[in-house]
Amino acid sequence: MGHTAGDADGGTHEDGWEVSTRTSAPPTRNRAVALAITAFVCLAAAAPRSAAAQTWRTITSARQLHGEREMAVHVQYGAGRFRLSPGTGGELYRMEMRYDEDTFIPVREYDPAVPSVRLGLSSRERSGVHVSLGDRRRDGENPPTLDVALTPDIPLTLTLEMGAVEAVADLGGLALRRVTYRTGASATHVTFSRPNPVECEALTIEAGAAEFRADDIANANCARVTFRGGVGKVSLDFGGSWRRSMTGDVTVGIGSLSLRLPRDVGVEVRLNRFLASFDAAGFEKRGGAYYSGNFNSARYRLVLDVNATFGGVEVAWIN
Amino acid sequence: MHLSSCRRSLGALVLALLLAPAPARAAGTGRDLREDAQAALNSSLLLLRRMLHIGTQDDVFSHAISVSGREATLEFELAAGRTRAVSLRGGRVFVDGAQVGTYAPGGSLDRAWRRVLADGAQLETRALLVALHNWRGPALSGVELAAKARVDEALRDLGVRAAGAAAPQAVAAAARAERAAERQAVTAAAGSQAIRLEDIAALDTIGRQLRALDDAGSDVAEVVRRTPVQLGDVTVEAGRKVDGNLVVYRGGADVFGEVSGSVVALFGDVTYHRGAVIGKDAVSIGGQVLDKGGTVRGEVKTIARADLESAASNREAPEPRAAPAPAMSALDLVFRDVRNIVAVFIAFAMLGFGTVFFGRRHLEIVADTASHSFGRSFVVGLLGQLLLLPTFAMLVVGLVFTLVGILLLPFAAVAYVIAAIVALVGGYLAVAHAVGETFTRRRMAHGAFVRAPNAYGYLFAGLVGLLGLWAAAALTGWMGPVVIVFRVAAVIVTWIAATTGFGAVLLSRAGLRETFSGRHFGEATDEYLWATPPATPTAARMKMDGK
Repeated sequence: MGHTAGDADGGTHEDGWEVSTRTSAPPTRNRAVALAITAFVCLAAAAPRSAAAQTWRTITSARQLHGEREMAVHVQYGAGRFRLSPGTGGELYRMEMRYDEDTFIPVREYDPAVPSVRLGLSSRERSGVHVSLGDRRRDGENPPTLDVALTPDIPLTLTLEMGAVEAVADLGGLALRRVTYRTGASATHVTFSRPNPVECEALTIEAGAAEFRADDIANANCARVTFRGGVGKVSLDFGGSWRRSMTGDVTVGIGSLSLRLPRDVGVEVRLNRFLASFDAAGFEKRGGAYYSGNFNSARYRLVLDVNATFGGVEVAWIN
Repeated sequence: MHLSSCRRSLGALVLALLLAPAPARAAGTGRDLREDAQAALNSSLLLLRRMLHIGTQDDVFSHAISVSGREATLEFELAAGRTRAVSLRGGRVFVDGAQVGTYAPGGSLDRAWRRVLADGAQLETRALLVALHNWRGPALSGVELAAKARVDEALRDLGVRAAGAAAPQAVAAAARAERAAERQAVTAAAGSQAIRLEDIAALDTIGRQLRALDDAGSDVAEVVRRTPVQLGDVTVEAGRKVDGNLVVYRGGADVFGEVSGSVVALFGDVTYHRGAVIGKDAVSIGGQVLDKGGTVRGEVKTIARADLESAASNREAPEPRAAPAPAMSALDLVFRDVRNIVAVFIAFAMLGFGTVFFGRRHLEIVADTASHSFGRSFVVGLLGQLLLLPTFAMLVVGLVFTLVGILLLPFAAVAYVIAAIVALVGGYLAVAHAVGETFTRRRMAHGAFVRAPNAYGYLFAGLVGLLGLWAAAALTGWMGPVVIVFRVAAVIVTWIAATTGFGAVLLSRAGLRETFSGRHFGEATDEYLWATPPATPTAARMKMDGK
C-alpha cells in the first residue's frame, strides 16, 4: 500500500530507503563515524547546481487515525531544515515539505500490516543524496524544509535518519516506545518538553559530525539512553520529570561532551577516556567509578558509561 | 466493474422484491432467505444512494496536496488502497491519471484551484473535504467550466469515516458559525476604541515612512495601505481563521488561530501562540514579535520607531552630493608618486637593514648566489613561482589525509604563505644587495671614494638602483604617455629581481647552502680586489704605480 506523495507524473514510486538500508547494520562506534563520512562524501560530491536550475515543490500531507493502536514511524531527510513536533488529535501525521523535485522524491508509505509509516525524501539517483550547498546558503530566502507533526494519541516507535540537516525535534508529549535518531553532519536540538505518557524502552542517538543537544531527557521516560558521537559538540541534559531509573551509554570520539545532571538523582559515571579531560566536581571516586553524594539514598539513579577519546567531559549540576 | 455491480444489485433487488412477501417455507431455509434478502436490499439501497449521490461516501484516509510551478495536485487515499487524484498539469485536467478536460495555465481555473489547495493545506482531511465540496470558484466558461464540473464530480463522493467526524453539513455549519464568530470577535475589538482624525494622519505618515524603508518596509506599507486597520488589541482565537491580512493600530495582535496573510501591529506587539499559523509575515512596528510556539510562514520583522522616522527623514532630505575632487596639478601628481616611492624605499631599507643586522651571512650567500648564478637563479625562481600554488595544494591534501595533519593544517597553511612572502622579499633584498655590491666595487675600482663599502651600503645602493626606475616613472608622470615606458621597465626589472632573488633563495636553501654561491672566482677582478682591506695593493693601483 505504500506509495509516494504527489508525484508530478502520476507514477507510483516504490523507492527504497537508501540511507536506511545502508545504515541498517548496527556495528557500534564506527557507525557514527560512517554517518559522518557519508554525509561528508555526500556534501563533497554535491554538484554546484544553481538555484535557478531547481524546481521547487511544496507538499502538504496528512493522514487520519483509523483505529491504529500503535505505529512505527520512520522519517528520513537528507538536507535542509527539519522540524518535528507533536500534532493534534485525530491525525496520525501531518507533513509539509519543500524540496527540489528534480533531485528528490517525497515518500509517505503507510503499511497497515505492521503498522508503520515512512515519511521524508528519497533521492531520484540511486547513488545517494546529492546536496547543493549553494541552496543551503540561500537560507535567507526559502531553504528546503520538512515539518512533521505526529500524533500524541498512540504509542510510537520512532526512527529518524537525518543527513546534513538543521533539526529541531520536540518529542514532548508523544507516546514513545522506542526512539532511534541517526544524524550525519548536522546541528540538532532534540527536546522532550513534556513527559512521555508511556514507558520507553530505549533512546538511541547516533551522531556523526554534529552539534547535538538533547534537553529534558528524563521526560522521555526511557530505561536506557545510548549516545554515540563521532566529532562535534554534544550536550545531554538529563533534566525533566524522573519516573524511573535510567542507564546510559555515552561514546564521544572527538569533541566536547557536556552532561547536565539533576542534583536529586543519584548518578554513577563509569569513565573510560583517552586524552580526554573530566570535570569530577560533585563526584566522589570509588573504585573505578564516580558517584554523586546522594547515590545511595536517591530515589532514582542514573548510571552512565562514558567513553571519550579526544576532548573533554564537562558536568553541570541542575536543580 | 461499475456496470457489473449495477447489474448484480438490480438482480438482487428484483430477487428481494420477489422473496420479501413470500411466506417462510421452513424455519432453517427461511432464516437464510431473509438474511439473503436483507443483504440484497442493503446492496440495492447502497447502489441507489450511489447513483443518486445521497448519503454514501468513499472514506478518505489521507490526503496530499502537491503544488509546484508545473502542476497543482490533490490526492486522496481511499479505503482498500484506492486513490483519487485530481491534477491540473500543463493545461490539462486529470482525474486518477485520465484527462478529463483542459484549462488555461495561469487562468481562472488554475488560480482558483491553487488557491483552494493553498488554503486547504492547513486543514485536516475532513475540513479540507468540506472546503472542496463548498468550493464555488470563479465564473468560468467553456472548457474550464466543463473541467471544473468533472473535478467537482470526482470529489463529490469523498468523505471521512463517521467515527469521530461530524457530517459535512455540520462541519460546514460550524465553519460558517466560526467565521461569523470571528467577524464578531474582531468587530468587538475594533469597537473598543474610536478612531480619531489624528490617527488617520498618523497612519498616513506611517505609510510614507514604511515606503521609505527600502529593505523591509515597502511590502509592509502595501499591506497597511490595502488592509482595514483594527484599532486596539485584537485576538484571533484558536480554531478561528482570518482570511487575508490583519493590521492592528494602537494595540497588539494575539494570534492563537490562523491568519492566512500577514499580521502587522503598528506600535504594538504581535504574539503568535502555540498552534497559531500566520500565512505570511509577522511585523511589529515600534513593538516586538513574540514567538510562543506558533508558526510564521513568511518573515518576522521588527521595525523600530526610530528607524522608521530616520528612514523617512533620510528619504526626504536627499544626500548631499559629494563635492567633486579638485583636479590635481602635474606637480601634485609628481609629488604624490615620489612620496609613494620614498615610502616604499624606506620600508624596504628598514627590512633590508634588519636582515643585514640579524642575518648578514645568509643574505650575502643568497646575494652571491644570485650574482654568480644569475641565469640559474632566474629559471629556478620562475619555476618556483609557477609551483607555488600546486605545492600549496599538495601540502593541504597531504595534511588532510593524516589525522595529525588535519590539526596542523591551519598552522602549516599560514607558515607556507609567510615563507613564500619572506622568500620573495628576502630574495629581492638579496638582489638589491648584489646590485649594490657590484656597483660599489666598480666605483671603487675606478678610484671613487665610498663612505660605507659594507653590506648596509650595498643594500642602500642596490635599492636606489632598483627603485630608480620607479622614481623615474614618478618624476615623468607629468609627461603623459612617456611614463608608461618607465613603468613597464620598472615592473619588468622588479619582477626579474624578485624572481632571481626567489630562485637564489631556493638554490642556496635560504642562505644555508654556502657552496652554491660559487665564491671561488679564480682570477680576482679589480672590483673584487677593492673589497680587500685598503692596505692590499690592487691591480689598478699597481698599474698607476707602474706609470
